[in-house]
Amino acid sequence: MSLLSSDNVYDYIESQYGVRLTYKLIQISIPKYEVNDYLFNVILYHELGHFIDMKYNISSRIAANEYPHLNEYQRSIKESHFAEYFSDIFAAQYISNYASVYLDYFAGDDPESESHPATADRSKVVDDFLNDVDNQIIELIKNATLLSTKVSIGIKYEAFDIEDIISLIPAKIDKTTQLHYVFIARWKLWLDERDRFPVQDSIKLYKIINNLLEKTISNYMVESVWKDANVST
Amino acid sequence: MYLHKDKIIELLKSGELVVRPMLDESQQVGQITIDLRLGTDFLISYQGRKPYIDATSYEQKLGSIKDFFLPHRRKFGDEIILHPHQTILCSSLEYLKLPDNIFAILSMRSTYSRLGLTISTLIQAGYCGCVSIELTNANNNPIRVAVGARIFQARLYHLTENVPYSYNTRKYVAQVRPIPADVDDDKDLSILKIIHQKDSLE
Repeated sequence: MSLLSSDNVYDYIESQYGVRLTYKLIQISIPKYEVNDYLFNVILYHELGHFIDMKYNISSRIAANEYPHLNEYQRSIKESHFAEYFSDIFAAQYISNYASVYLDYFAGDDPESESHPATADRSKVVDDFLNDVDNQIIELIKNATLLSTKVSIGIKYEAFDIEDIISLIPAKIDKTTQLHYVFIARWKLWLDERDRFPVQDSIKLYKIINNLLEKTISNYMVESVWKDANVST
Repeated sequence: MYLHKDKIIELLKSGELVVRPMLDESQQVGQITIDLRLGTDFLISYQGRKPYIDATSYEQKLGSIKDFFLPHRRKFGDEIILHPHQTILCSSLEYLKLPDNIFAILSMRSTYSRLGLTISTLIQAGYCGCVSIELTNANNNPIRVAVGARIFQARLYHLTENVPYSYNTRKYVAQVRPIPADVDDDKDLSILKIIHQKDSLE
């Protein structure tokens, strides 16, 4: 992923093409095979958190304020760790703990390093956040985020009924906040509901669930633009 | 027996027949048909370096049938041009789920068939998924079509007995974009291949 954050670029685009882009551009490059894979794409929410952190200097602000007594090297380690914690919490706002579940799959026993906290510590922070348990790391991140972005950290997804998916029908959603739940639904369906599908073959079912969720998203987008266009005519 | 409008609406309301998204039921459900829209994903046929599409499975040298089609996605409301005599694989925008006692025959809406666009597709009873459709421009002129336009229509037939669609053995289940022909999965071709090889040795 790469973020086109420099205002100069947007000024240049406007001067050349007369178009002012409302949002910053983010380029996401993932293997073609995983483009429609909603199980593994959860990690993109974590990576997006790093862009928000870089844009608003959240982890660097926490490190500077909380650890002025440390030398630069020690403080940079603290900053890196807070960057990871922030991105984990940022992701959990949208996809619950499923980025942690994914991380546990391939790095569950990883100890603390200079760049990352121990995986177990990261999972605990996410669980504490989701369960509203007092945690100093979370408090620091919440306060710094509000100060820097004027936006509160909190749960930003809404659930939808997944029974249709189990019956091999795309789900019907009508809110943008429910779009994030697609990724949570993907993990729930795969981990907890697999036996209820009328398809036994795992490889076939894996593709079918991805297809149904892709259609859930595209139906919502089509219905939204159709509705907007009908209102304006 | 054809299903008429009241029965189609009754099935839609009860959830026995699923059509998603149904953007405008009053327009899409006719007296004996449901109009379907052109979807956003396409497989465009093109001439590459290989001499022909091999639908025999006698030889594997020519590679996959997929190699003769280029995946392409357009936005809803965008447009696509079909060149003279070109075939593209597209799919319905709508995801369908038919009851086990109803099958459907798909044809062009007359507005579009009069332009020279042709299709030929049957949807099995119990099928679920977007419908893969081979769309051919038989006209001598290119034709520009809006993505999302109601260009197909499905006539629904009632069967006296249920014919369940076996999700475990069928090739095409819950597809949401066009899929090229899966010739290799045709068991008859394996038998024909053996016969052909025996004949070649004699």
